[in-house]
Amino acid sequence: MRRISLFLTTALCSIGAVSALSPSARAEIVLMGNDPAGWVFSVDGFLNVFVTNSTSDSGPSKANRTYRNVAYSIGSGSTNSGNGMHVISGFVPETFGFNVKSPDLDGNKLTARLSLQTSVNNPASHNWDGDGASGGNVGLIREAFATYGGSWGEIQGGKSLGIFGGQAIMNDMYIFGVGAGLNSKGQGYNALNTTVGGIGYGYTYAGWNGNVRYTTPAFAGGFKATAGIFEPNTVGSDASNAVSGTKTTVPRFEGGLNWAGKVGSAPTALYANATWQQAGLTGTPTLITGQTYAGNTKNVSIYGGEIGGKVSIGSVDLVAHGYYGEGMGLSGAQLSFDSIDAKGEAKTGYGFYAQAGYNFGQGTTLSARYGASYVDQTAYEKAEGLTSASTVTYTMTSKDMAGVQLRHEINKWVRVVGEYNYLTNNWSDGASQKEQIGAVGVVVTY
Amino acid sequence: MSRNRRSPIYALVLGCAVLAGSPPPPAFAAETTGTTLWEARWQHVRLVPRDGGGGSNHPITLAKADIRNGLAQLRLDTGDGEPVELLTADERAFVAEQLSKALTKAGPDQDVSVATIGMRKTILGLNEPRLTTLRAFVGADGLNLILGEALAEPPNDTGTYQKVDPRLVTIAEGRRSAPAKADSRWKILAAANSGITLRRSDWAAIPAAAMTVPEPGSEAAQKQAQSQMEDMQRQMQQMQQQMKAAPPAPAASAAAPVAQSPMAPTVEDRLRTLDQLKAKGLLSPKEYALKRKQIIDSF
Repeated sequence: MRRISLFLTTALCSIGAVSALSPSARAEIVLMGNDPAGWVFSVDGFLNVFVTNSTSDSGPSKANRTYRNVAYSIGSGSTNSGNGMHVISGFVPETFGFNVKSPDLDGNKLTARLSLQTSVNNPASHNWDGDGASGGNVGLIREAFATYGGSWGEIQGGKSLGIFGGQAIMNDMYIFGVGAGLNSKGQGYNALNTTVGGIGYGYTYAGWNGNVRYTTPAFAGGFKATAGIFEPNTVGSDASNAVSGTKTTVPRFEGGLNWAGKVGSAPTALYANATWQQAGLTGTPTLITGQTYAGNTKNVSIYGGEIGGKVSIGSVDLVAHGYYGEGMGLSGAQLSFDSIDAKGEAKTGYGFYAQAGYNFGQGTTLSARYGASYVDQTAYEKAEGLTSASTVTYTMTSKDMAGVQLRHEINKWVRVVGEYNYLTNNWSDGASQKEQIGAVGVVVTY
Repeated sequence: MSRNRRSPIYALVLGCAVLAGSPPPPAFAAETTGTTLWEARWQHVRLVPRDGGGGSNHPITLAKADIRNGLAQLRLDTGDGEPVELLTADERAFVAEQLSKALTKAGPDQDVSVATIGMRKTILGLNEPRLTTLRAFVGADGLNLILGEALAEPPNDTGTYQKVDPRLVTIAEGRRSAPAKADSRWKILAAANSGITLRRSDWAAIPAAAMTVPEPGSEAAQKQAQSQMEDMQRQMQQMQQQMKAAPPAPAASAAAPVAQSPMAPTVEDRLRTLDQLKAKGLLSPKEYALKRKQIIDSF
């Protein structure tokens, strides 16, 4: 390891001199290409900035009614309705990745990756240069992991994107765009560093968490299976005075089966994944009249399944994804926000998205996407809506978004993107809120 | 909105089941076997099993400068426009270094597989990355290079957010047994009088002699050209000194044509030598033009 450190130090200190040793590569820039032992150090990156303009309704507001999830809806309530223009990061934060790859080690290979993320957005205010002291995040480390693998498969340990929801997000056209905004600071502007793309509009957020996973080598003509244990999430509710699932005594399990190959001449990738987690409930809920809480005697179990895939037929790319589960949540923050009701009962959630892209050639692609996520009300939440109390609470039950995106590659590293999205959030009493977002931006990858 | 919202999921399940049920055709994916000596995404240097007849003199030590010289003798007829370098100068430097190391590690039943990406001018003058794969081994006839991919567009990916599944990528590797891409339009070309044998349109055998010709533009090539120029100048000075030192010719023979010293190159000889140096790639076009003007001016 001392040797690698030496190489890393050398590489970082003399990038210009060393880079001439290896041929230019697009996929990643190889800085240490001629280490006598075969170790390779490379970097990659993803940078983007968008000019967005949005117009949205106010959040739902009616006398004697309380709406849950408004803080996570478009426009953050009535004060932010109307038009908003911003210059911000898109769905993906500004990312700088650093990779180390070993030569063959007795038939096995070792890799390690660290990626750092930051944002165009100032974290806490439009006006400041924001250094994080004001409360926002200016830097993230989403990936810090190593892999060791050979003909027997691969073990990966560290912090990385989850399995459940992972492929859905990577196939999403909003990777190169904006998608939905999460507007705690106004339309399209947020302190969470990025927009939310299609999260919550067809799939749940896989998140970046500590995990250890094993992936098989390819078998039976292109299948791979993967399974891992993950740092468990806190299971939360969007209700005030609710219980929460904070006692986690077992890890979250995620796993799946995927296949990639060609159907006829069409490159195709399909997957099916599942997740399971349980958590012990804590707290004492404040319930509506007539409802009782049995106490924190049981665990809440969260589980879900998803399938999806991508197929490229000539110039047409088709993507589809669907999920179903208990406690999936609607906000997109998987498990953590609106997965259970005030009493700790898991809420049934499901959703899908479908996407089609047409490549006109010369690097120009037009894509269209529709996605929706739903959460059924629990028996308790239905009772809440029927109560004769002076203030009745209603929950958000669905979100959907339709969007089109035109993307043109100036070259293999620089692309310009234009996008239009139409979003709707719906509550259990029929209230809804709509937003339109237009965006134009530049995405650089290397 | 209808309560029957789960139907799209069932349709998706059905669709995936139908697709997964179709038997996929066999494909040679980018995930290959062999001992990896160096790898960076789509580029690699691997020891792979020999895939056909013909012996290999492995392990063997070949100087990277010699490999680089040999690679510089090869061009590629793309079937569309002017021939281009088989590998760019940066690629040649990289491949020579890696190949030199790999050949010392290869066994008699192993070849070296190389995949390299270089920047090429494409339409509209844009620089684009292009992938080349080579199977390399040293036989009785020298360094053999068999082309698998030439000027191929590599998968467009980067780190986590833009990644292509290797199972969906098919990269042809050069084969001894038969051309990897029988329908390809490109073919390897060798420099004139280089001694390189083109065994197939995708296969070149570079003898040791061809690897002694310095790569154009390299330090060795410049030194060699300089040395040859100095030799020519020395010869001219000697000739001039001999002419000055020679006694005056008898009057009777004054009208007779002056016999040319066998040591003294004529203008024609010098121009021919200059052309030969250029053909071997030892002179840049600028050097060639300058020297040619000097010779003609001296006439």
